[in-house]
Amino acid sequence: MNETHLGEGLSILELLDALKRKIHLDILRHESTVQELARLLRSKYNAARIINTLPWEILSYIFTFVQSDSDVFPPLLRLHVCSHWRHVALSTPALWSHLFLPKPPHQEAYGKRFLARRWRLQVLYTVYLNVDNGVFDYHTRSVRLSPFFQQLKTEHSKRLKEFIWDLLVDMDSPSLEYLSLDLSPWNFVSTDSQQSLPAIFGGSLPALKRLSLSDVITWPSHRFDCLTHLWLHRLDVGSFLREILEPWPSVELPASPGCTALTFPRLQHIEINDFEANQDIWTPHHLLQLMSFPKTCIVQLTSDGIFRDSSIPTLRYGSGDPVLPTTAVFRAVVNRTTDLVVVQENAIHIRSPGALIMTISLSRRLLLNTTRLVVCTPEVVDLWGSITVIAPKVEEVVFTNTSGSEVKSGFNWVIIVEAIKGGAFVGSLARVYLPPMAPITRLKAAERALAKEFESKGENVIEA
Amino acid sequence: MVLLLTSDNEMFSVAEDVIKRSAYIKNMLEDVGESDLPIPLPNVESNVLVKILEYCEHYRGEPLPASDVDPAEIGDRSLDIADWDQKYMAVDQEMLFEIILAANYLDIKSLLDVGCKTVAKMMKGKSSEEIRTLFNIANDFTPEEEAQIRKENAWAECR
Repeated sequence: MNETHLGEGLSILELLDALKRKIHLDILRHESTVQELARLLRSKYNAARIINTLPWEILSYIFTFVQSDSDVFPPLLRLHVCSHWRHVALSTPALWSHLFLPKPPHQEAYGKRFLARRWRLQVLYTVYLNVDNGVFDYHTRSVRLSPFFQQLKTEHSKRLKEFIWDLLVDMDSPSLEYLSLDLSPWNFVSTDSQQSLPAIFGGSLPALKRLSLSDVITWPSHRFDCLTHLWLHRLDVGSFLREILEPWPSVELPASPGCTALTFPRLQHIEINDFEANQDIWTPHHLLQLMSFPKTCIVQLTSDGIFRDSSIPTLRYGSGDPVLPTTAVFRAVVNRTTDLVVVQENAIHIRSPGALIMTISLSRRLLLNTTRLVVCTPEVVDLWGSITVIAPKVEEVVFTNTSGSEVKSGFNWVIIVEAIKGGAFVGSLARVYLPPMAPITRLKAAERALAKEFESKGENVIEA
Repeated sequence: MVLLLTSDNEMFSVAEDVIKRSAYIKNMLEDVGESDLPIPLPNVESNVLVKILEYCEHYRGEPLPASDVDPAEIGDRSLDIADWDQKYMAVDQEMLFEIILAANYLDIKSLLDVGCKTVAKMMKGKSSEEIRTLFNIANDFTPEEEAQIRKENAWAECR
């Protein structure tokens, strides 16, 4: 048989060598078969594990809880456990519908892996591209960069910048509804033409409803027919205008009546704040001249000095703060059900927009599904954009200058406490009022201890 | 009182306002009206129903959640669990998953959430290998698949 066949015309050594190769191949083949059988047995074994007896939708539901508890918890981790989990995780749109890239160092790899699965962009609703770069210091009124972030920025800034650019250029997400870009941490603000906003919207974004741009110097050339909320922060107005008017070289500002280069048929709210205007002849008013939007759209402009010497009525921030001349228009609609009421009355530190934003930021988890927010505070104007960034689903914010006794009637309250150790900012304390049926965030032990400490100092913290 | 018949043929007599936390039972009572016949629960064993009723009894009188809430879209996704719920869920894995299955079958959204959060908390912060150990799951990827997955997601494991 084989031996005779193999041996024909071969020397003994060649015969032995051929036999050895054949045996080796047989072993490999059998090993492969055994491994495949073992894998099938392990799959059968897994199918009998009690957690895998849960219906697909419940396992998927559990994954969404794990995912939503952390800004950066990667859904891909669930792909590692077993083939069943991998299948469930890949088939759960909720795990892939939000792209948050707030915390280095994994944002680069995470973003790449995320976008590599391009089909999932079909269900991508939210992109929040930012970095958690430090802590706001209420004494110096500035952000203190963390040492880690400083190191990262020094060592990896160029690489991450390129990555972010690539990511934006490749973005093509027909379902994207919310996009927030804060490019300031990477020093993107520059006259360098290489740092113009790339063809980020070269892709199609027909469903985009909310756009938040911070430290972006150029305007994306795209139609935003569905845009309802636009927030422009730290804007170089002159640069912006030049970019917008590039297709219309004959148009000259400020004398350009009737020219509407940008059309937002569904815009409900536009906020432009902290813009660079003192060194430029251009102001946001010029930008607004070029925009066409419904008359019902709320317009809010905020800056540090542009209106200092003007006769435009100003609103003041907290009484302990420097006066920041501002013009603002708010239109409150109060005939819908309220999701959340934020009252600043018990904040430990000075009343200020920053403090209130901090309070709202601490309520982030509660705000995830909030669509309408009532803010009870007498002195806040510069908020909407920040709220937009913190709470993507908020559609309506109502500011009242009352103590909120009317709107918070029938609501339960939750204390929110936060302290930053080793820094000048010692703590924040505020109450958030929730409807009776809303889930309540309970205080952790450390927060309870801090609340007790505040109480012992005579702070009126738990008064309903 | 409402009569419930479990899969192991045990009969339970339960106050209507207690068991109405189950949207499944509530709808059935509304559809069928008053009846002396027991409601069969072929997917729930008696020991699990005892736990379910303990939960419903504890939250007796609390407002029922809206019936038209989409569990996939609405609700608190934090992993915070009330103290009583944590103690209630301090059971072995088998009972935990039985409670989740029963809550799903009986359509008790709040209990389903508590159960899913409990499992999610067990998974939180663990590597895939630790999760396998936790739930006694075997690695059933082929060596090639595993190598590919590790290569793709090496960053995820080094959190």
